[in-house]
Amino acid sequence: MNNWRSRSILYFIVGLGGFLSLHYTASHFTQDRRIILLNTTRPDFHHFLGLEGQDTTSVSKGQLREYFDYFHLVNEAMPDNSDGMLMSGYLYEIAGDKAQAQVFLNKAYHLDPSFFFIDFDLGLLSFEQGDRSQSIDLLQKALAIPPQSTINRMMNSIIYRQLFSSMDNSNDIIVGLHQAYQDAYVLLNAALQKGTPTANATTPSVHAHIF
Amino acid sequence: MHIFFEKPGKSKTDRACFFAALVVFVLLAVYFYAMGWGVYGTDDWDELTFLHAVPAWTIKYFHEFPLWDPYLRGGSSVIGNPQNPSPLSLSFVLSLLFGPLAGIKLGNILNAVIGMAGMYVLMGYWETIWLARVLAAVVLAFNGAMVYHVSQGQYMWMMTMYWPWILFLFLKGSEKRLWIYPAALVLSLQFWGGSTYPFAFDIVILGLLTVLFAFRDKKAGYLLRFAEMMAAFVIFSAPRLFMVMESLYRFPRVTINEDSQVPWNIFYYAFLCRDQINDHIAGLKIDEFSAYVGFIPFLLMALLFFQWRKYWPYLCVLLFSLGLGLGNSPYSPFWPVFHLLGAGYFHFSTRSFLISVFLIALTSGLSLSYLVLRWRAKYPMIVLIACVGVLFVMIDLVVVLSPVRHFAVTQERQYQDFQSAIPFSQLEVTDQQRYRFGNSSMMELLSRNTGTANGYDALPIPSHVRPMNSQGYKGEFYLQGGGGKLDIVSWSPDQWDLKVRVFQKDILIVNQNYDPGFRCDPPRKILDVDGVMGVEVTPDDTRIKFYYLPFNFVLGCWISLLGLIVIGWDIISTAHRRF
Repeated sequence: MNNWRSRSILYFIVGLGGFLSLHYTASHFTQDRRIILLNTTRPDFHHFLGLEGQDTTSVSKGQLREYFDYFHLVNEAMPDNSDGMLMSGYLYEIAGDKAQAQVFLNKAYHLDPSFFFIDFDLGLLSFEQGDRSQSIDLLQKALAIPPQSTINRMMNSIIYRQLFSSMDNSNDIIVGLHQAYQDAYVLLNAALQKGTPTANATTPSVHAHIF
Repeated sequence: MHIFFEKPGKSKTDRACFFAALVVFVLLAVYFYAMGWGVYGTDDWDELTFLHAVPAWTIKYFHEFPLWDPYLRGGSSVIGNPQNPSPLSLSFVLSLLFGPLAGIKLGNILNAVIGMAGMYVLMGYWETIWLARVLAAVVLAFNGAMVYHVSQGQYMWMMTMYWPWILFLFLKGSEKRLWIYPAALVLSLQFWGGSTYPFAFDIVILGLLTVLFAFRDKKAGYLLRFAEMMAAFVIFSAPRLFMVMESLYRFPRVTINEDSQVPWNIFYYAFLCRDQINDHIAGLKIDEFSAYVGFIPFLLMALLFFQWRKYWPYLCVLLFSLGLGLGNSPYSPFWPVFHLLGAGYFHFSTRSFLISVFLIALTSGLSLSYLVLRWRAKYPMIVLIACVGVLFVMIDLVVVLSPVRHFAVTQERQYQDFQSAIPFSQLEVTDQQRYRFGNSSMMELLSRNTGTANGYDALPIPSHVRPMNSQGYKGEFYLQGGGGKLDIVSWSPDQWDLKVRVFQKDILIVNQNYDPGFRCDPPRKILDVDGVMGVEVTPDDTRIKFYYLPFNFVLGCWISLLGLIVIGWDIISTAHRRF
């Protein structure tokens, strides 16, 4: 065999192996890679955890933008993950853009219709838009989900684990969950009240929640 | 005495001198690299002994080829981890025979001797005198960079000891083509040995030298030889290479180029300053830039610049490595460019001094040989000065670097053997600081057949498992629905055989990170259940066996097999034609 033949075959084998390996690797692990790369751009969630109930003017615009950008990347990288959509909806709600909040929360609901916080936030949004019947349906559905299931669901979520890793005290998860269920009851109660002249008159001081 | 100043021959005296040098090499290697025999330290010692122990104990206690490491961060590939030694590395074989810790230390000693022997042979390529070879060998194996890194448990830097062999074989390969195969073989042994920086630097050195040789001789053949060598390297290392590529792609280690602007005086403090314990430059730790060689080798290296015409490719690469070490200095563009060109996995620009010390060892030897051969007739005194000088270099390295030997083996841990009878579980070390920066415990847990769910690895492998000491822990294997019964028939790091009985469809969860390389018998699709593995089970199922056999490993084995046949054919046909 001439040298050029053996060399050619050698290059062919190496090229074939490299191509098949790269093709397999890219098709199976691009998602994992994106998530890792996202982690490197992950903002500090300390401030994120205190957003609910805050006056949005007190949250710096730069900080809010950072969270928006991050979850935009998360939604791009993980289009099948409802938690990224929920967080984006929640951020729009905090920022006062109800229309965009509705879009993202609907996407989240479509991906995971049985998560307490998606039902709750959509229920709150419906209540604020005056759609009482839908609000009641969603809130009743949310409250039918046992808190333990909600905890388990959060513990299994990559996004929630990122959030929790920024918490100083893990008991805050339980406190936050307790508050969210309590708010859901208050809101459902308000929605069930008959004969109130306007929605605003009975709107309790309930905020959007993510936990 | 004359033999010290001649090119080595084949007389009895020559052989006696060679063996005398070998004895000195071994004694020095034992002195520097057998420190803390029987104990290991914290941090890198813990992590890297762990990486050594997992595959060694998998073979020894479970009689399996190590492919999956269930102990590290909820499970990851053994062979795909670029820092893991593989069964083809010298220290791994020693680990198998004598235990991981003794294997690492014996491996360090042997690798140092292999490196010195390689330097001795490489210097022969230029027909240097005996004494110059000894000088180059000693500077290569016992400079500040090597002693520091090894004393901190970063034994994979020992893979730089293969550099002289690789360069020698590559130079021979540029003359006779078939030599590229042994060059590629040694290159792949270095890669199988678990080196990351040494391997990457190796490609940089050889790549640059190839381009410079081609430019010098106006011959593109060098580039072809380099390409052939790399192709042969892929053949020799495909099973590991493809797996490493998979891991690096899947878990990208993105380091931000935040290395400071390294000042010029780093060269003094790194290569010449005799205090190699205290940090001399603000913001730079000496253990990351120390590369002490001493005044004499540095001076000899500088003198070789007078021989620029003959040795300029080597001197250019040396200057490049020094420039690389300057980090983000405005005077050197190399590091930012190097970092951008796919070297984002690396940090600490001063690690390029490993290349520098190799080339300082080489050039100082060449310089000494030239000076002695050139001037000894006119100034016979130079012979005595050279002899005393080399002796002084050895003593100086021992004196200056001896304190470094004891630098990192602090907070000693006694080595414990593996207790395979303890059922496998995983724990989370609750205080992050405790395990990484103070009191590492990965190895300690491993010896009790326990994984560290949040253990340290250079790659950002996400851990999705529920450790035993966390809320919601349900076991290492459980049924998602909760009904039915599970029994573990056998457990080993790579394979899990389970007896299962369910009354309705359920998902069997394995508390290990999801990896598509897993398969099960009877064949089922492995599911990704929130990051861990699951498989659907039905009332008809009685046994489920999981085993790890990733696509890239199987593909790599086939590529190696086919490539080896072609290489064998090439060698035989070329030899046949020649005779």
